[in-house]
This record gives sequence, C-alpha cells and structure tokens, in this order.
Amino acid sequence: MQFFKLNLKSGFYVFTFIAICFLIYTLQQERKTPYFVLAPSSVTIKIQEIYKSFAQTISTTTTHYLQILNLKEQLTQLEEENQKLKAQLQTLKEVEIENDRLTRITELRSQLPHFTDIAARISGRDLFTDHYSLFIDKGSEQNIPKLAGIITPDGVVGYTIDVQANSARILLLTDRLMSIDAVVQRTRSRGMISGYGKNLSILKFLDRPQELSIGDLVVTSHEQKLFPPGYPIGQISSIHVHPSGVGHYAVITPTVDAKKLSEVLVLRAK
Amino acid sequence: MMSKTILRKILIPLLFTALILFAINIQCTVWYDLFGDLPPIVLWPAIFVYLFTTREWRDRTLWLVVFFILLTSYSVAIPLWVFLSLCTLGALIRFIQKRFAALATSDLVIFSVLSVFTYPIVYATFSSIGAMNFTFNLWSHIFSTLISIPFIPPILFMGKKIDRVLNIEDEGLLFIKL
Repeated sequence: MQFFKLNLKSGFYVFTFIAICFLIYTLQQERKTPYFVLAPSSVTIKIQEIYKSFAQTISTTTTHYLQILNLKEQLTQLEEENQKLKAQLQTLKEVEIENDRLTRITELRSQLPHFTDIAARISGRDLFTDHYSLFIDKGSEQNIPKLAGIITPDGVVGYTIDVQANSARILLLTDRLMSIDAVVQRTRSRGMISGYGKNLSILKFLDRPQELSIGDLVVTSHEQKLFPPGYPIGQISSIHVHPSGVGHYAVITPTVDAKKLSEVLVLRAK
Repeated sequence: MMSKTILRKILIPLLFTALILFAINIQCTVWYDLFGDLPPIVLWPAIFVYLFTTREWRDRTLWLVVFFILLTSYSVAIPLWVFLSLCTLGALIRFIQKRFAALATSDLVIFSVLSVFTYPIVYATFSSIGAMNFTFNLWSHIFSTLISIPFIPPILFMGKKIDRVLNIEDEGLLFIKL
C-alpha cells in the first residue's frame, strides 16, 4: 500500500511523464516532428552534412585517383585509336583524291568522240635522269598501239613509243626526243614542241613569234592525229632568239606535271 | 666437274643478270614509288665495275652487250650513245685498273662511285652531238652519286658472294693479275 502513497514530487513526475506521452501522441497524430526532436535534428543534419561532404570528398578524391590511374591506360588506347583513325582518314582522303581524278578522266572520255581511250597507271620511269619517259601498266594485249597519244584532263602528257605485251613506254613532253605539232591558241602561230629538260618544253620553228606573249596557251594542232585538236599542252613562259640567230623559240611550261601523274588516258583514233 | 661448268656457264650469268635487274628496278620503279621525283640511287654501274674488273675479256664483252640491252630497254636514251658510253666507261675502268693494279674492295667502291658520276657525263657528251635542246642535270647526278654511296658496298658484296659461293672468285682475280 506504500506504492499508492504518492507525494507531490512523485505526482509531478508521473504527470510530466504522462503529459509528454500525450504530447508525443498528439504531434504524431498531426504528423509533425516534435519540437524537442526537431531542434537537435537540425543540428545533427548539419553535422551529417559535414560528414557526408567529407565522405563525398574522400569518395570523389578516391574515384578521381582511380580514374586517373585508368586514364593513362585509356589515353594510350585513345592515342592508338587516334593514330588508326588518322591513318584511315588519310586513306580515305587518298581514295577521295583518286576518285576525283578518275571522275575527271571519265568526264573527259565523253568529250573525245573521235578516240577510244584506255585508262592506265604509271608503273615506273626512265633509267637515265636526263631522259623523261614513263612506263604504264597496259600494253599491246590491251590494244595499245605504238604512237598513241597520252593525256590527262589537264592536258597532253606524251605518246607511246614502245609497246610490250602488258606495258608501254611513254615519251614525255619534257624529253628532248619529243616532237608534237602545236599552235599558240591566241595567235594560231605554229611550231614544234620538243622537250627541254625538267618540267619544261620548247616550241621551236615558230612562225610569227613577234605576236606571242608570255602566258599564251599552246594547244595541239589540227594537223596531227595523236591528240584531239586544240587540247592544252602548256603555257609560254619565255621567248628567245635561237642561238644561231635564225628564228625564235618559246619555252613552255606543260599544263601536266609528269611528277604527279598516277593515271593517264591512252588515246586511239576510231 | 660437269656441274661446276654448268654453274659457271649458266647460273652465274643468271644471278648477275638478276642482280642487274634488281638494281635497275630499284632505281626505276621502287624509288619512284617511294620518293617521287627525288633523284634516284644508281646502282647498276657498281655491278658493271665489278664484272669489268673480275672477268676476262670475252665475258666483259658479253656483259657489255647484256648491259646495253637492259639499259636501253629501261630508257628512251639513244641506243648508239648508250653503247658508246658503256664502251667508254668500260675502257676507263680497265685503264685505271691496269694503271693502278687496283683490285681491293675499297678500290671497287671508288671505281663504282666514279662510274655512277661519270656515266651520265659520258652519255651527255655523246648525246650533245648535234642536239639543239641538250639537257643535263648536274645537281641531280651529284645528288644521285652521293645517295648511292651507302648502297654500293652491299651490291658489290652481293656480286662477290655470288662468285664466292660458286667458288670462282680466286680464279677470276688470278686471271686479272696475269
């Protein structure tokens, strides 16, 4: 019975306990966080945030470190990949350039109604540095005759002088043994094209040389049968008096640079 | 005995012809594909020098003809001038060889380098006769000669190897000394 003998102090404790229980219950019913919970939790959240931030920093740093470790390997792989792609790009560029060249050759074919043509690739060049000739990969088995005109879309290259079964030799415009009948497009002055060494030809036996000027285009004449008439040969770069004092000759820069040739068209009169 | 004769008569000329063709094709085709318009290495004179210094006169004459045929088939050069240039070069080699009794490998290398440089000059001299628009690229020849120098000893080595493997080198040299 001693248990039920409550004094004031015990009663206060019991009352406070019950009051707190009711308060918690009431707030719970209203779905509100109790104030006495709310106040410390705001502090703990801050602390938690600091810890979280710290943890995130460590995590990020660790991740970055691990990523850096992998990065070197990835960089090496990417560099290799980059090199491969660059090589592929270069190949594609080369293919594109070749495609352009071949397209131009195909377009040129339609403009040559009086000739049949055979496309050929360059396979070699002259043994002697002072002579200018090229070898192509087509010969008599592909119906290439001797003295067939060789052109590109840019102009005259030369003509075949020796034909084997599967190869032929082209004498270039720049070889001194070359001779083609030509005219100056503007003045119709006639002359004979002959080689003059590296990247140059000369137009000799010129008639009416006083009418010529530097930059005039020299084209094939109507008198020859190897090339289409009026096809470009080169441009006059200088005009000289022959050393003997008789007649003039003009130095010509061919429109086709034989050094850069890859494919040519071999012409055959129909 | 019979097999040795066969080797001497057939296999050696074939191997040397292959070596000449190798040297010519390096110059005309491979170099052109790799380096474009850069003056090429000229190696055939080294083989010419080797054959002219180690063979008797009948063989030398035959090799002269072989060289003439091969060179003219790879160039538009005027055949008569090519032949006369080869004869002149051969005569020069023999003259110097007899004069200085030169037979060592270093002598052959010097002869070869001189031949690489001299042949175009001899050819140009002949072909300038009556030519209006005569062309000669001195700097190309100098460049060709200079870049050919490192490749000449291997070519001479190959020539020597062919002879050594087929065991006739000493006999050839003996003939020259006599």
